[in-house]
Amino acid sequence: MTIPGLIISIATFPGVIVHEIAHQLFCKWMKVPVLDVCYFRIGNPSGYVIHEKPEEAYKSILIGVGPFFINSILGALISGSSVIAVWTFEGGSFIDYALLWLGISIAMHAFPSTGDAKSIWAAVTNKKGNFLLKLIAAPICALIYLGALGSMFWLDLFYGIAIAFALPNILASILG
Amino acid sequence: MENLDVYEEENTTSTLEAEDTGVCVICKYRVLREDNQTGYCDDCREDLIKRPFPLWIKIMAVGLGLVVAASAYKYPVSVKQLVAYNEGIKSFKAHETDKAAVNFEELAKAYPESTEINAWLYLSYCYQMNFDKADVVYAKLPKDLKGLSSELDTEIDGFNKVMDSTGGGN
Repeated sequence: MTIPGLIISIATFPGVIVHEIAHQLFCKWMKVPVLDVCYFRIGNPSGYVIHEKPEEAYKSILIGVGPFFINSILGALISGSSVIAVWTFEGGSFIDYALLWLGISIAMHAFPSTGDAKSIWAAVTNKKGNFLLKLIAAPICALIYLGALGSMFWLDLFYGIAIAFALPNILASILG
Repeated sequence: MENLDVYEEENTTSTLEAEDTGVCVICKYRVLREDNQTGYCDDCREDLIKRPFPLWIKIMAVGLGLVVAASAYKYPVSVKQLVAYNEGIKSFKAHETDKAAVNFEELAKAYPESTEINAWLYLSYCYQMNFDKADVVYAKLPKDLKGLSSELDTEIDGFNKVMDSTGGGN
């Protein structure tokens, strides 16, 4: 069944907002001026951050991939405590279900967009981008495009669920 | 009009348009340096770097912080339950069904309706020949055991084979 991206964005809007906040945070940390921000809207794209082109290509990479780390970590922290109760033990309260929805929604939007990939690639292929950065950026961009392709097959949802399960299972295997 | 080179983090293209008057496009009064490429002055650029988050985003961030704190508070219990569950399965597979039953009994107190936990507990009691307790747990199990973990499915198949060979079972 194909569900339009717009409906998915609305259903998982906290993830879109956190994604854009993460871009803006990384811009702030990299001291890159932010010209415009839209945290969420009903449309395509569902959110964006317009910023000045950084002089250093590595800053573009960090701004581009920032949401991957922020959304993944936040998603794992929020949903990890509920996923076992809801999924494994078929129990859990309303709060557990709410936490699971919130955490998976956030983790689902961890993947940078193809727009992010374009920005990263443009930054490393300009005259200031060195070979090492291209070497780092190439697999990142390839993974982003693969992720975009995979989202047609619910890869982002599967990633969100996997992130929810990851932390409690890692902790249990350490403590068990 | 001059198009300024800007980046957008999503899949649309956009440019900031600056009037070619030599004045900052944002504050509209500071004169730009001749080598200025951006269209805005250094002071405005600093302001853009420090662009504050809107109040509703700050409130949402505080809310998310509270949610993370609440989730972190629940984490030890969830992890402890997962450890007990994993240890229960491990003990069961090692034929230490008494140990396994203790783990699953604890979990069944927290999740009395869980088919997964009750099925493991039922099997543990059966292998212990504790059929009184097994019957009580069996009553909680649905008639059609669907959607169980593959590990549990395998154990149920194994148990059914044992029952078939001995002519017993529910």
